Amino acid sequence: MPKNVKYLLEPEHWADRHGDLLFSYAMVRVSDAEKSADLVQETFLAGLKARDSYRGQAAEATWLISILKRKIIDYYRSRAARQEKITDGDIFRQEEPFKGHWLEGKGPHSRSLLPEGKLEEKELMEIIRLCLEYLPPSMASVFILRLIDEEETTDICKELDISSSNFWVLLHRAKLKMRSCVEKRWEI
Amino acid sequence: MIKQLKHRMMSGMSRRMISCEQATYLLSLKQEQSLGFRQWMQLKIHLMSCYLCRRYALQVQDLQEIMESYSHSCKGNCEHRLAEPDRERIKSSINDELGAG
Repeated sequence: MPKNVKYLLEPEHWADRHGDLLFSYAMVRVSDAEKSADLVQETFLAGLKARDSYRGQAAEATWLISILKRKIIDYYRSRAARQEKITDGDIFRQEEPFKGHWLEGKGPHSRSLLPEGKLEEKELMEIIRLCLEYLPPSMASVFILRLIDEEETTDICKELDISSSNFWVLLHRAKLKMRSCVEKRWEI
Repeated sequence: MIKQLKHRMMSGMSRRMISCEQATYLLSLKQEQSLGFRQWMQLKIHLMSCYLCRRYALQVQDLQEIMESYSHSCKGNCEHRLAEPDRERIKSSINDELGAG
C-alpha cells in the first residue's frame, strides 16, 4: 500500500458493510424503499466503475455516500423535469377580493405545530418522512438539501442548476406544504 | 367566522399592505437571511393585523426545529435496513461486475 493511502476499497464486502448505511441515507431523502434499494445498487456499481479514481483519502463509506448523494440529486432532477406546474392555488386565494389571503381552513389551526403533551419522537419522525414523500420533487430536493443536509444556498443552486430566486420560492413552498401536511397528520 | 371576516377587512384596508402569501414568503426568507428594512416593516405591519400569519410565524419555526432533530436523529441511527432479497440482489450484481472486470 503506498504511504499516502489511508483506505482501500473492498467491493466484495460493500453490501454487508455499507448496505444499511447507504439504504438509510437514501430512505431519509427519497422515502421510497424500492427506489432507495435501487439507488444503493446503482451507487455500488458506479463505485466499481470509478474504482481507479479512488485515492484512499476518504473512508470507503464516505466515498460511497458521496456517490449516492450525486445519484439522489440526479433522481430529483429527472423527476422534477417532468413535473406539473406549481402554484400556491391550493393554499392562498388566487383572485380578488382578498387575493393572496389564506383560503378558508388552509391557514394554521393553532399556534403550535406540535401537539400538546408528550412528544412522541418516533411518531413525529415517521410523519416527517411521509410528508417528505408527498412533496413535489423539485421542492423536496431544495428542502432536503437545505434542511437535512444543511448545505449552502449557492451550492444547492449549482447542484440543481436553478436560480437563487427560484431556490427561495421552492424552499418557501416546500415549507408551506410541509407545515400543512404535518398539521393534518396530527389531526388524523 | 367573525374573526376571519374582521381579519380580511383589516388586511384589505391598505393598498400598500402585503398579502398573506407575501407575508409567509418573508417569514420563510427571514429564517435564512435578514430582511431589508422595507420588507421587515411590511411584515411587521401585516402580522399586527393577521392572526393566521402570526400562527404561521410560530409554526414555521417549529418546523425548522423538527427538521433539525429529524436530520440529526437520522444521520446517526435511522435504522432502515435493506431487505434481505435486496441485499442478495445487490451482492450478486456486484459479484457479476467484479467477475466481468
